[in-house]
Amino acid sequence: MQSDLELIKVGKVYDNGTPAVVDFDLTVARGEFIAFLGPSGCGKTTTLRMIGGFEAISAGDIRIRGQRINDLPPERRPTSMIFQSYALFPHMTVRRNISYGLEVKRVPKVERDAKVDRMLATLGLEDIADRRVNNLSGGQRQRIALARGLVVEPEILLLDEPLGALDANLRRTIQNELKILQKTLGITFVFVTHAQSEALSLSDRVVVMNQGRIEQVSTPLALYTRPATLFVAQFIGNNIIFDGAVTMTQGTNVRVKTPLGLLTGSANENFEAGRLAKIIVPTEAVQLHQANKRDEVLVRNDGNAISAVVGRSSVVGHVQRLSVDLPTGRALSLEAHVDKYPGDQFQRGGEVLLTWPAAAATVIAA
Amino acid sequence: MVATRDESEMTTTTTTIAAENAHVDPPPRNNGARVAYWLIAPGVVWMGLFLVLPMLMIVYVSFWTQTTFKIEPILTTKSWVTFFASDTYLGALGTTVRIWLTVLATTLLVGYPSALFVGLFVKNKTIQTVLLTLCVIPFWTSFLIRVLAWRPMLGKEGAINLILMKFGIITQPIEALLFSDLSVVIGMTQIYCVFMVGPIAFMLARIDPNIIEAARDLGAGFWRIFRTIILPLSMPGVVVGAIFVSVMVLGEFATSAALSGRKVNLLGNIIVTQVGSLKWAFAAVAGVILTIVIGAVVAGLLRIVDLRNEL
Repeated sequence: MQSDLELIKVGKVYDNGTPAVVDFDLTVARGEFIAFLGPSGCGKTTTLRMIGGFEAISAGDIRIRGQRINDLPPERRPTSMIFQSYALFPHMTVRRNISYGLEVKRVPKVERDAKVDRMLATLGLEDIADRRVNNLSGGQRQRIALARGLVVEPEILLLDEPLGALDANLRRTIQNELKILQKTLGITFVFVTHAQSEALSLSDRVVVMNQGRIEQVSTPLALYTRPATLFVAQFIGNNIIFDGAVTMTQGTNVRVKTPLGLLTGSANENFEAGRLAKIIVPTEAVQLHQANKRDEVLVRNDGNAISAVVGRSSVVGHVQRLSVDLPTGRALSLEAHVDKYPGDQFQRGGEVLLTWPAAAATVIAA
Repeated sequence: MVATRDESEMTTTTTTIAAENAHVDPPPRNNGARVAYWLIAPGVVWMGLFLVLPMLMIVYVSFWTQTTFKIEPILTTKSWVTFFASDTYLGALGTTVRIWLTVLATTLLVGYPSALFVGLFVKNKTIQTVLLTLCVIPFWTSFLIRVLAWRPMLGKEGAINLILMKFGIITQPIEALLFSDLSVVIGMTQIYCVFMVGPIAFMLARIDPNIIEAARDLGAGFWRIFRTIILPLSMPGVVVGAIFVSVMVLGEFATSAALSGRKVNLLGNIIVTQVGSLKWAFAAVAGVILTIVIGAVVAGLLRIVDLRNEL
């Protein structure tokens, strides 16, 4: 597939010398839905604004369809930006807001009207086409902003936390609409968000950023199953992290010596024995067993079994929330689905075994 | 405008308080409204006694009979007839309108770009405030000194003529600089420009920078953005500024008295002279006409934008 957008070692240093984005490398395929995910201040919006041309880049190259656009001003880039504040023109009607870009490009009136009408219909805005924008609801304004950005047929749509200002229900509706819209139009979307669920449910690939650097670029599923860094492991999902040192590598399986014994996980890279490592276990992968079944479960889980003592527990609807204490004194929070663990199996002070298959855990360098 | 807004805010506040009290001890239903009336009562009384009543008085006095030495409450239209039959007075009305329009144009011409710079191009809020404060510095000296200071600047042997002659740009001093329409317009522009800059800069500073970025993103260049986005969004500021300047310029007399050498007679100057020679009825006629003109101008300006909606 042809690449639509390439960022090659892109960097941004603010005037006061603080680096905002460092060595940002990314290739986006045509029609891909990419999300930039990270805590606030991680450089995701700055990167988006560099792609849009609103922020000068300090290092590297940005290419769109092979053409270097570093020095093009926003008005000459084939991108459209959807702002978090929507940035609608408050003194114009919905229709004029949407047709603004076409007027600027001197599209003949007949063609312009046809395109605007089509866009109004696509986003369900026909009824309010002649209203002024300032009294409309958040969802409507969001759709107008989308229509205004899309009607000029950009090659790439840049969205800066576009759902941030909407309430939860509306956000879900518009998320679905966005996804469908993107698939229908086949346009590349670059989407900035600090909300995990948004990034994970919408995008084909997620770029996780922290402190101006890319932590990991992968599919939403791989972020859960194969976190590449400690930051990702802590930021995405619910992971249990153990420190240790590598004792041996067996294919993709890596054995790590921890204070809780030898634990095994998978790794993306080769580890030499003795290297410090972390083993990351998603809480969803953890199974709970009766303490007396140790020998039986050890084999099935590549030796991953640690005993723990049940602390507090409470049933919340269909799940039981457990706090278990490890021999090292650390407490873990786990959830046990009632239909998977029927009855009241977990008494306070009772001993349990926590297990997980080696393939479910990931070993990363410490 | 501002007053009405305060009023409505107060009404809402009092209603909320009333609502909070409601479950403790149900007060009379229209309690909130009654409190609101008490709140505006002092203002209404003040305005009634010192604005509405005097204005009615002026209208009334303008129909009194004026003789050389005294004025009697016998109703006549003589003063009105004299005003509209006299070339001098109609001329003064014409001059007032001419000077007003010129000053409106010059304050806008000087003020808008300055406001654009302060409100839009200066991103730093502190520097914005500093620059706006600089505009107000001339007001630290008295009005009269500010006006009279133009004399040594504009005079035949004034600073401007001296400098121009020193650099050989002119050989004869330009006499038209002082004691002319020009000097009055220059003086008024300097004094009233800040009233134009302030409201416009305020409106411009309120424009979400993302709106301008969005327009750029859609391909618009600076001039198109100015014409289609910035100018329309700053119009309420222009109108408010124009109202300030108009109201002040139309009622002016001091600047023209000090800088025109009696060549520029505004309605304000007429009123001052007539009052000075105890011609109360006639001064009242000029006053009523001036008030009508100002009222019409303000009403006209308010029709340009719906301030209630825009501010």
